[in-house]
Amino acid sequence: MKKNKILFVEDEKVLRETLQEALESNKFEVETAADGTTALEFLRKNKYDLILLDIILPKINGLEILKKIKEENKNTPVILLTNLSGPNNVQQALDLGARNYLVKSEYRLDEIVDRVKDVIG
Amino acid sequence: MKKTIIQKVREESRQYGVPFWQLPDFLILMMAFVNITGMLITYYLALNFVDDPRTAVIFVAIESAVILIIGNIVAESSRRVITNYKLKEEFIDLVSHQIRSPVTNVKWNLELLNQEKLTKKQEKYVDRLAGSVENIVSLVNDFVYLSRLDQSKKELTFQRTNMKTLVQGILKEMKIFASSKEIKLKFVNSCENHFAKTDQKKIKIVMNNIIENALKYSYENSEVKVEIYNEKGNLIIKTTDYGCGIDGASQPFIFDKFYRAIDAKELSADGTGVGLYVSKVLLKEMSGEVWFESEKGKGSIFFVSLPSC
Repeated sequence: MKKNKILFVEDEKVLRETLQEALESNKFEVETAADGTTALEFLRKNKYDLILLDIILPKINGLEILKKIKEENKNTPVILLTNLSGPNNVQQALDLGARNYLVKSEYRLDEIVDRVKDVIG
Repeated sequence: MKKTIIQKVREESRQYGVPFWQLPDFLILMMAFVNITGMLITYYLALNFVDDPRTAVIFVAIESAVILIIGNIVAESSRRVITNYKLKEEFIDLVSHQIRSPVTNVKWNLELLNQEKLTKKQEKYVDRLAGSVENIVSLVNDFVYLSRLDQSKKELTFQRTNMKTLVQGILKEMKIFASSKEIKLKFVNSCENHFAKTDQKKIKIVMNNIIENALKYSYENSEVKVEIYNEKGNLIIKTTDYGCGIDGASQPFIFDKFYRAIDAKELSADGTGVGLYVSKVLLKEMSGEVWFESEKGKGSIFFVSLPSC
């Protein structure tokens, strides 16, 4: 069976590797990008079933990426996964078409995997 | 206790970071004062210098100029207030983000570690660490919510909320913390209608605070019981602990900002005195209430009431 492919954009190495490991052990195929430019490059070359996106990123921030994704890849679902909890960020992300907005520190790994399964189970 | 106007002005001046004479409210009051005084003087001049209307005209012109200047200061100070507020928001967002990131690292990796084969002793240490990490998460959250309380009313989204599911979810999340103190968590459902009209995110903050406090201030090997029931059109969530309780002298102040009862400081060093204050303000905004009964050395019962729907 073909695995669902996820692009996980996160600049913090340890967080990136930890969640990647958790997702892969749940039978997802995961590619990672550590900054905005690399993420956009991957998005131009490959097709993903879901994008997990941080907001504070080097070069291009997550909300800018989300805007571009929605312009070019309208159907790919995006979950914002960040430690920013300001209502303005949440509203902006949802207005731009994010499927969900999760504050990382509030969720256990298995809960994040569940949220991913909710979208591309 | 009601605050005097001077106290309110001082507080706002501190909060917005501008001197009191630049507060928009103060300046608008000044404009009204100049306007009324100007009208009265114009009236007096018109009566007494009717032969020379130029005097009255000159005065009206001066008055208009003063009002224009004050209006300009109002606009400028409002801009400063907005800028200060935005800076404060950005600062809080950034600081909380910087703290949350390493905490998330620890939290997620402890979870992975917990999935490995550990000895009983190792499991106990991991549970202790996980409990501490959750404490840091809730401390940061408390400060973020505290800083945003003044605008939280604008952000309320009332929904029909299943309180049984919500409370059970919180109890599930607290399981590790409870087991680190060997406390039994008990849930009693005496409700016919589990639904309340409330903001789901905000009520979760409130119930997290109440249940976490019950665990924090419980003695080891005791029990925390959460019961939900209906009473007079309301849904009541009753949280009982058998811990240090609250001494009589501290009881009137426990919902005050930054207040911590003496026994609370002794039993748990990491509280901030913010959780109950935030909870009370949020509940008031959601037409709910919070109150308690407590006996020093025996424990406390906290009641949260919400309108059923």
